[in-house]
Amino acid sequence: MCIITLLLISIVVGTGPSAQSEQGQSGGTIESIEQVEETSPPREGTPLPTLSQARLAEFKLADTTGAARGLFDQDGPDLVVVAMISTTCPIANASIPEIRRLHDAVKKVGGRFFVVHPMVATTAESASLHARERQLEMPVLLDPQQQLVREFKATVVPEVFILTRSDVAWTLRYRGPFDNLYAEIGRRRRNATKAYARDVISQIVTGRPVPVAKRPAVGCLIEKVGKGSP
Amino acid sequence: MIWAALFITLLNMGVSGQATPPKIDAPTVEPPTWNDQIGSIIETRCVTCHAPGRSGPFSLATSDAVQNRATFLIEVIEAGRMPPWLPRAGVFEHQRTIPASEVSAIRAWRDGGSPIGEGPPKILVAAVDGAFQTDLVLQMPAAYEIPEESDPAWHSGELDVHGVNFPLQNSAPLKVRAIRHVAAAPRAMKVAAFAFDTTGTGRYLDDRDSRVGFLMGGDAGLRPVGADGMILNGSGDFRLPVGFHLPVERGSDLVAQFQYRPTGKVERLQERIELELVPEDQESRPVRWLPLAVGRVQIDAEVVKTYTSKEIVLEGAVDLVGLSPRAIEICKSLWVDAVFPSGVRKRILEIPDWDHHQRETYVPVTPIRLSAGTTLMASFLLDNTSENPRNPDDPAVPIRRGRRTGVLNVIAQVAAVEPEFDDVFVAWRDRISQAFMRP
Repeated sequence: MCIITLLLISIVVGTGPSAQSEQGQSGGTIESIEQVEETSPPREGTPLPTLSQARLAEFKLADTTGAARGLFDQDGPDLVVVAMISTTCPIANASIPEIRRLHDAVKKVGGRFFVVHPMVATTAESASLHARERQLEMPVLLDPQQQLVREFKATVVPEVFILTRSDVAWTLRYRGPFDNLYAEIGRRRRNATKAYARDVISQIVTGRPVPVAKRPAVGCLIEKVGKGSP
Repeated sequence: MIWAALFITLLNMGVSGQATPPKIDAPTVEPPTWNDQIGSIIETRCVTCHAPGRSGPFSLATSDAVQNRATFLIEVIEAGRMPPWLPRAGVFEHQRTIPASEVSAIRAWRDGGSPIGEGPPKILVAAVDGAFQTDLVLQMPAAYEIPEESDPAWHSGELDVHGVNFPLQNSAPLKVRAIRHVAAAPRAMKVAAFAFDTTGTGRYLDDRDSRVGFLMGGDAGLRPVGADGMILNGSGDFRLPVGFHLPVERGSDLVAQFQYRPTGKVERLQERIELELVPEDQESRPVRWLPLAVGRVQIDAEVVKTYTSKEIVLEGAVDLVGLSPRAIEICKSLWVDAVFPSGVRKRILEIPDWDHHQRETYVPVTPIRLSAGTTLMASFLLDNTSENPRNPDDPAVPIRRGRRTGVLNVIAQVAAVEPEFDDVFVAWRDRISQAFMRP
């Protein structure tokens, strides 16, 4: 069991030469995620945005019990998925079943999955109740100061961020919606017909290229803290 | 004084010798405050739904709640997504729009630091339609469970709908003038559509399904559900103008179709319907349903096509008191035209961006008199391309559907002006309805 997990993680992080060349990763350490805007569609040889382990290790957010949790621990697995949601956004809530499916897929390959609440008004109590009512079994964290929001340049919820680590650098392999349930606000399919995020996990695990690294997220605007506006 | 002014001017010229323009303070405009203006706007426009226990997904009843969403609020209002209101033409009851001046005020409030104003911040209260007189209450005895997400399609029809039959067991005819729908899970419930039925169709459908209610729409024979009104949850009651009523025959059932949106968790569907009757001493005319419908739809994948209903020429004068549209998910827009005997054509309903989860009966503020010889027709633009985000199929597939109550239908609620026309109306209307499915 342990060996299988390690093997899978080895594939997930893309340490094999095929994954490196297919993605055209630079392998260098970039201290900003500015390049994220250029990742869709990824072109051959275009570097994907990366962040150093040292920088991301600084990110510690409180969970619903108030305990500080690291998202990108040095000794943790090399696949981390962050789902930014809110307790009240109907688009985020409609994605809950897909979030659970994605969590299962990530857990199966030994990755870590976090739900992060970036909305100003979300409290530990409301996030905890929301998770209980919807059977969210992964760690649920709060980002009241919007540190992760700024780092990822997140603007709406829901949005998922899929990162893999190679050596000391994390690469953002995908950001965007979980699936195509919503084309835009008010335009919802009866059921999603494409599971973008789960497909990316599958592509990473099997060493295939991730054809689209960024899709526009559809959802509720994250009101920013500390910019004059609420 | 003059010397002082000269000295300042020289200082301003500096070493370059060029005078910098004197700084003039712009007149200060105080932003509106929550207590004097913004609270009232939000209370009137938003809190009917966005209050605890109401249909909106979050509350906007406090200044903090609005402050925390002000930018998003402005965005969805300007995009035409909120408040939900589909028609472009016409003047209807419950018309929900927000004037640009009010949006500007919300923006100025946000940009000005969201001031509260004098006194403690006002807590907003959702308006209650106190005018409703409850004469009859129909309550589902048990709950149906709305799943956390839509079931996968098991046929090409509408999903996320649940039918319920409410036996009225009325021993005498009733004159209903208003219907209220109280949802058990207001955030999941979208549309309730009604049809009073004497055929037993609702009971038959109920008996065949072991669940509470039945897992399909509630068309009763030729009578389409919605014939007796539709309510968008949160938008208020369905009420006919004074002087009109829905005639309910003795021994009727109320067949209701509830259309919901799964919310990501299991919700309860255990609805209550209340009826208000016309007082016995009040004169009123019966309102009949008239279908402007397309019975069959055949559209290939990746095709955009307009369907127009059979033209209906009125054999007598009527007052139009409601328009209740229904259409399949790939419908992009729909409109209803009236061509008067003079040849003048008038658009009486136009919905440029159709969403069947936001439909309701549109009741003209003043009934529209349509003289004998007026032609009515409804048109529907269907977009069966893969790019249409409301297309449940991706890639698109050919659609072949038929429904004797109309796959596409704008049900007109009308009352005959002369009793003689009312006497023959039902037989005339049923002849029209039976022709829908003929090639």
